[in-house]
Parts: sequence; C-alpha cells; structure tokens
Amino acid sequence: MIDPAELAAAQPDLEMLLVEMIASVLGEQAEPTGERLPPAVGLAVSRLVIQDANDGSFLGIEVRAEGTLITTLAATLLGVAEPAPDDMLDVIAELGNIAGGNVKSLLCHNGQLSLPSAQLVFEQSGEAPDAIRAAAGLLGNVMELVVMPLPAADPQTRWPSGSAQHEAEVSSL
Amino acid sequence: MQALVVDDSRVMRTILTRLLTDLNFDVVQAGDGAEALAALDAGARPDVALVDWNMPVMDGLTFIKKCRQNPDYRDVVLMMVTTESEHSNIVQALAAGAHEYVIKPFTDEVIAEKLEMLGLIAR
Repeated sequence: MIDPAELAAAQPDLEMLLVEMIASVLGEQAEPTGERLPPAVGLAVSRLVIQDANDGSFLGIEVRAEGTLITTLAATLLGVAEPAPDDMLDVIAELGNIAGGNVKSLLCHNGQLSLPSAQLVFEQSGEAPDAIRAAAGLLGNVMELVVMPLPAADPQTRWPSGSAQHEAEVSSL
Repeated sequence: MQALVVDDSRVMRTILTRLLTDLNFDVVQAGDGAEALAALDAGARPDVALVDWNMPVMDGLTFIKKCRQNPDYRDVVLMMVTTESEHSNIVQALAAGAHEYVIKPFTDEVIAEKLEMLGLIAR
C-alpha cells in the first residue's frame, strides 16, 4: 500500500508528468494550474487501476478533461472534422493509459496496470479525501490527473492479456 | 519499406501511422498481438513492427515471443513501444527478441532516431 505521505509528496511530479504528456502526445504547451474543472460540464474521463504485486493493494488513476477540449484534440489527432463520441473516448483512454504507465513508474514499481476505461459524463464523481490532484491548463481549458488509493478494483476493470489478473479472470469462467 | 503498428489504441495507431508514413513507410495496423500474427500468417512481411505491451487478446510480449519462434518472421525488426518503463520490463522484452524499446510518451524524433539506428531509415 502506498503511504499517503508518499502519494502527497508526488504531487509536483504528477503535475510535471501531465504537462510532459500533453506536450509529447498532443503537441500542445501546457502549464500547471491551480484551477479546477468546472463543476457542471460535459467531461471525458479515463480510469485505470494499478494493483501492487507486493501487497495486492490498488491505486486508481483518472484523467479528466472538458468534452470540448477532447473534441478539439480528437479532431487534430485523428484528422476528423467532427469527432464522434467514440473518437473522444479513444483520445481520453490513451491519455489515461500513458498517464497510468508513468504513474506506475513513479509510485508502484512492481505492479500491474489495467487497460483504460473511458466515459463521457456530465457530473464529476466524488474524490477520496486522500486523492492527489494535478492540473494543467491548455487551450484555455483544464486537464486533471487524479491518483487515489482504492479499497478494491471495480469488477468491470479490464486487465491486459498475459497479466495475472487476466489469467485469474479467464480461469474463473 | 513496410511497417506494422500493433496497438489497441486507435489514437496511438493513428499517431504512429502518420509518423511512419512521413518517413516513407507503408503501414499496416493491428489492434492486438493476435491480429498482428494473423497479418503475418496472411503474408504481410513488414520490415519493422512497433508493438505495444498491454493489449487485450494477446499482449505485445507474447506476440514478440511467437514472432521469434517462427523462422518465417525472423527478419522482422521488433520495437516495443509502451508505457511500461521498469528496467525488468525492458530486460524481458529484449530477452524475448525485441530489438528496441521506446517508452510512451515519445517524440517523433525518438522513433526516427531508433529507426535510423536500426538501419531502417537514413536521414
């Protein structure tokens, strides 16, 4: 289980990770910001889980951005004039995947990263009190990376082929 | 030159395809290792395959192992392109037969440099 103090101390690293990911994947300049996403707005959210192989504990990762921002990014990345919801989901899912892999390197060296699960939502889910949040501003919008300890993985979590979790799922069928 | 891009993310396949096309590769895409193997079995002979690690159906490490077990595919240069950045992952991939290892997020320049080092492009 990751120590809450260790998680809190990682906040500046998460902020840097988010900014670097935006620059590398999206080709956009971003700056860390104290701003938050507006409370009632269409959001694209990507969720992943890391399971620590040492003690079995779980860490949740979310990447969130306004739907309008993801629409703009999807148009550029996929080369489509009017991105469909599936295009937006693909973009936020891959951003979550990249963020998740880098969070694993930072906080959980011996763990398994799940596959991303992406959703378009109209309300932000509640955040655990020990969640750590990093935010970056780009194109006049905010993108957030939130990392939080989880008591368990969502049963809908998909694990990659070849992982112990996937093998356990397959053998239980 | 032909390249095979193996990634379950359509966004990543699109990004890599655009980059490789700019470097004069003809690009074939696959959504997981099983699809990629099927493409090879159907006769595709890419000069290089860029392979994600974590995918549904068949992960990239298994694909690389299967590719290396088949002498018909021994000339395919294999490059793992993944978010898995632990030293043990890199060692595992190289031991399985990957020639290069790139960690996401990457820049276009990093991919081009690796392809140049592998002798697949000249700049």
